[in-house]
Amino acid sequence: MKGQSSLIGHTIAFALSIGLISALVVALSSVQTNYREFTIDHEIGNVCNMVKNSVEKIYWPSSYMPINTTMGRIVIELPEKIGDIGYEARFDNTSLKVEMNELAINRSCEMGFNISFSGRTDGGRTVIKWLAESKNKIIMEREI
Amino acid sequence: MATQIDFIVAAGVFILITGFVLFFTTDYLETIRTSVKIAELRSDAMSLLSLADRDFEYAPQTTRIGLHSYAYRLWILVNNTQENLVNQSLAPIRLENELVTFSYAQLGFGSVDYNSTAVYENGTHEIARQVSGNTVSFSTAIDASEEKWFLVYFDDDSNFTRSSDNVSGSSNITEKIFPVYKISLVQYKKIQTVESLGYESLRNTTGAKNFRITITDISDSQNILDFGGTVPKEANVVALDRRVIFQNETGGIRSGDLIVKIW
Repeated sequence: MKGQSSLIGHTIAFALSIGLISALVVALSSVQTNYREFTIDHEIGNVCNMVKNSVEKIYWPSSYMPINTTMGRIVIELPEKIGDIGYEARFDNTSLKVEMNELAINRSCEMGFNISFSGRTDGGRTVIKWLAESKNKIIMEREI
Repeated sequence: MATQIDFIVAAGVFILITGFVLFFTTDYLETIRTSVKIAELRSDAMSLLSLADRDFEYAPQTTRIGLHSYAYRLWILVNNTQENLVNQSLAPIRLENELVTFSYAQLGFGSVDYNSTAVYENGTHEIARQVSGNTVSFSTAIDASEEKWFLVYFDDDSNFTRSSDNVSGSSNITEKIFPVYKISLVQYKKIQTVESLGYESLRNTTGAKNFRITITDISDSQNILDFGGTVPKEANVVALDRRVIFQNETGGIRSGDLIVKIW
């Protein structure tokens, strides 16, 4: 009888432990998922702001400018990955589009300048240039 | 019985430690969240703060708020000494209404908003000025051997409606007019434009977060611009400020404090 009671006790303790560990794993997993979504959301925002602020740093048009000349150039260090997932940032008209195909995320942010934008990057060291041509142009490319 | 107590104690310790771990982990993550949000807001606020350095951008709707423009200023020296008298046979005496006149055409400016003309005596207080076509006149009382400096501001792309003042006097002194300088400022016309566009409309077309922009006259703490949404009482709000030079409603040039708040 005593041996049986001990077995039941151990079984309950074991089940309880498994239950607690499972609850812990679920809680941490939920935190991780939640935090990852948050991180991705804000990292995309930060990529947008970094590119936008860089354009603002280099682009200062004036009435008299030479043509076919690089008027400004800046190199920025964008994150290689967002939420541990690769991404692509590319100019689309006057906005920057950040795409993460793996998660089907597609976000765009307005650059705020009515000029021509082109180019793309997938993170890392990225060059942004202002070319004074017939229409002012901003070009973005990953530094090789 | 002793074994069951051991189990209960062990389970209690486990729950306690797990609780602490979860509490500190979530607390840490929450702190990071707030920091990340504030960093992003600060970056947006920096971008918005540059409205004092840039013009509006349209494509064709407003894609960027910009209050910046250029105006012009020049110094005029009135020196009541013998060598500056128009009539060299007279000696300098106190002049109650010495008339100073200059023409924008003489300065090489064909297109000027004449109503924007603002004249400051010694660069400190504004005085009456008469505008007739492209000619500006103002008068001053000046003692013998006294010199007075006048600072004139004007704009070429504004739309002021201030009328001309009546100025009388006679010109007895040859004044010195110094070269015209271009100055950067927040233009009154653009302040009016931003107010007319409406907050929600601007927020949508610029893709901005919630914001509020205020420009306060430093000398009398009067709000020149107070535009944007209502700042929430409980939220992460980033506020940045900087000094600006702005035009008031009469074309006068003042120092202001520009504050942008973003949440």
